[in-house]
Amino acid sequence: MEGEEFTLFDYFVEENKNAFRTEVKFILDRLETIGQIYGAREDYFKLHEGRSGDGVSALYDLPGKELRLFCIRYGTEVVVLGGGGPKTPGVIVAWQDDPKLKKEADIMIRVSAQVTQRIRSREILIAGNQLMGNLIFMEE
Amino acid sequence: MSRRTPSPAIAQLMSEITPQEKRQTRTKMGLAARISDLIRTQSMSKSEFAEKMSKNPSEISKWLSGTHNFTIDTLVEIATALNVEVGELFVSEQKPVTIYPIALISPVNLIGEMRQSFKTNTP
Repeated sequence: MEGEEFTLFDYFVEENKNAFRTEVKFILDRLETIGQIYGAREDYFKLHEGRSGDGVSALYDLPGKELRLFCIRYGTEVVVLGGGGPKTPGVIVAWQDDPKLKKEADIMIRVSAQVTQRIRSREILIAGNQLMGNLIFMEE
Repeated sequence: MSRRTPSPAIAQLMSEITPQEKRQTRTKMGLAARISDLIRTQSMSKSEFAEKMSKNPSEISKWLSGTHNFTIDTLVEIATALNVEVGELFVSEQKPVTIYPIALISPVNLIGEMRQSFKTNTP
């Protein structure tokens, strides 16, 4: 919510830190490695989790595990972290089939659309590894 | 305003990651990055590499995700396909980066602050 201290990613961690502690730690470790060493290489993400061309992707989890964290990549230097949740193999085929995952993916799809619109209108600028400008988003 | 310090929960979880686990993660991601770079420098597509390895492209995607735990045999097969010594697979190029001391995951800017200002009904 506006003025909320927690971020989408904070909620993701809070929601999953007990039931999926190993997976969450692995995701944090991967994010730190991406941030400090290798950058947001395309291969590290499961692409095309949103709509065509919107950059919504999911960070790959431990093999055999299915904790999805939705992100938006802007090249290899900027990643917007969203929320996510567990995607049980064989039970949920696609995120669209799970209400929680659909909600989290939809948020990122909307954020992506708004960021794109604001980049076009120059309300947001990508400068190096920074997104600068109006980063306040309203639910449609 | 964006918050740049990790939440207490994130800080706690990060503190639980052992140096060995960190090293394993970095090695796997670096290995994946190196293989991906070698495929590209040899002007091969991932599909062509998959074909050369007699693997499904989805298997190659898993290898390049930086999560795969390779066997020695597989590494030898990959090195052979890429015409390099196995040891060369572990020479990964790092991004020249500036470390921001207070940021959890800089300098690639991982923006987790969106919910701070994103109106939603999620608790």
